[in-house]
Amino acid sequence: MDTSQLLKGVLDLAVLAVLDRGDGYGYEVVRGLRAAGLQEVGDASVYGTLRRLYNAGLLTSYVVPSEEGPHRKYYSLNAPGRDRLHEMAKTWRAFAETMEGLVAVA
Amino acid sequence: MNAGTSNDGTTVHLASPAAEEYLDGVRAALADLPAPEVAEILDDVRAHLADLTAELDDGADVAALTARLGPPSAYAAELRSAAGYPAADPEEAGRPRHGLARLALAAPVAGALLFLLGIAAREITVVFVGLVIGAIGLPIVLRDGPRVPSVAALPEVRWLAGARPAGPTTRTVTGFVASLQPAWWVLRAIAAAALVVSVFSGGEAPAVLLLGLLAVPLSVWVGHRTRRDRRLLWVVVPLNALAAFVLLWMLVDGVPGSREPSPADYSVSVPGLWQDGDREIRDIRPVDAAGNPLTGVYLFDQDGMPIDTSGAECSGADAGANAAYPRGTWDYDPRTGRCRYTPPAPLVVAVPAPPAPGSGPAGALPTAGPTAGPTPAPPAGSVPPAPPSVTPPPASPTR
Repeated sequence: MDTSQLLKGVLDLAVLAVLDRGDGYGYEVVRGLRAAGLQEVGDASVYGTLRRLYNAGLLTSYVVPSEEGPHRKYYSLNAPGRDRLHEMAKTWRAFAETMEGLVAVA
Repeated sequence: MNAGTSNDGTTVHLASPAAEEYLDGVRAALADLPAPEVAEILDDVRAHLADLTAELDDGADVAALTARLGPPSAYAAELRSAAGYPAADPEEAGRPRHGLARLALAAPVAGALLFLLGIAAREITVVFVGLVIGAIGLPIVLRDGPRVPSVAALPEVRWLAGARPAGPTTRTVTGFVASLQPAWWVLRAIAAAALVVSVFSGGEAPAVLLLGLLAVPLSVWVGHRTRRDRRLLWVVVPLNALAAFVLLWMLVDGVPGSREPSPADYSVSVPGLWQDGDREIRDIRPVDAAGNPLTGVYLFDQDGMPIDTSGAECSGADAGANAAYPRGTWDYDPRTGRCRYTPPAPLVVAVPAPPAPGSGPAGALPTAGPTAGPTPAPPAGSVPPAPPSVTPPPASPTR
């Protein structure tokens, strides 16, 4: 089964979870997801997701100037973002449990 | 140094031109989105590309970035769908940008035409309007990438680029002309220096040389920079035209402001009465038709203004500017440092022969010129009345 199809539904949750561990700029989030085992995640998808979550008011951002290279825009979870993360995590656990029960028979 | 401008105006450094080119592609694919949002996205993507090129080390060209991320359009499409933006309509996406790009191209052309028209007609308002219109294109191209992709994508620009004849001969010619470019960079620097010096200090040649030495490296730097960042063309091309204009002017006139004043300038500025600009008339010796010297004569021009022969030095000496002719002459004596008066010496002049033989000369003329003057009529008519008929009567009694 194509993992990227599954990923689409849970990318928001995955990104929020990575940012819950600590603030990060776009590529840090990409690497965090890859390090967690989500190899198929597309770079542009992560950047797009960050923009959408930011525009939805779940993230705040701040710019950190860099000595060499362009400045980095860090994203950080705010209170609504944290609420949303917990809400989604709850849904995910219920969903995963259901799926687990379903798949265990197979 | 490779720099791009982020949305908040700060200049940031980019790792490589490849990243900038890839970023241009992404920017073009997102162009239908609101500009502030695009700027925010590109800030992220710019940092992303910088990190990737750093990872890829030296092999970071556009092909390597494309192998890693897919083509810019695919990257933009993936980002678009993940961010929940509406998908780009392939047909509509290019249109509004074409309009802006056309404006970016047309504004400097129209501005330059108005500017030249204003200069030719000496209408400062038109010149100013031309400058303002010419500047309209700037903010539009600044939103574009260094290669100005939106303008380069215009059908008419593509057509122009495609219409250039190809072939070995034209390639040799264009190659040769391109190799002359550094020479032009030096020339325009000298033109800029000459212009600045002539505006601020009257145009001494050494100052032009000194300022030129400073301007040449700057001009060469701008030239190299412009090869990479075509947006600069919107500023450089008008300045080049100005430089070409100044150079032409210098060829015709010498260094602006430094040319020698011509005799015509002298005739305006040197006091006193001058004949044809080169012979000073220091006194006037009127005689009547028979050649007899007249004294106490006041002379006026066609407007009734008194004719004054007093020059710069010794002009104020006793006689004054309103004395009658002949006045005698005043000379500066370098030994005493004073002005010395020379009374009118006896003078014998040849009077043109009268036209009618009946009215013979009144006295024994010393030398009656046998050759008739150029205009024989005036002397005969002007003999009887003492005051000339053209002279307004009130002029002389007041003096």
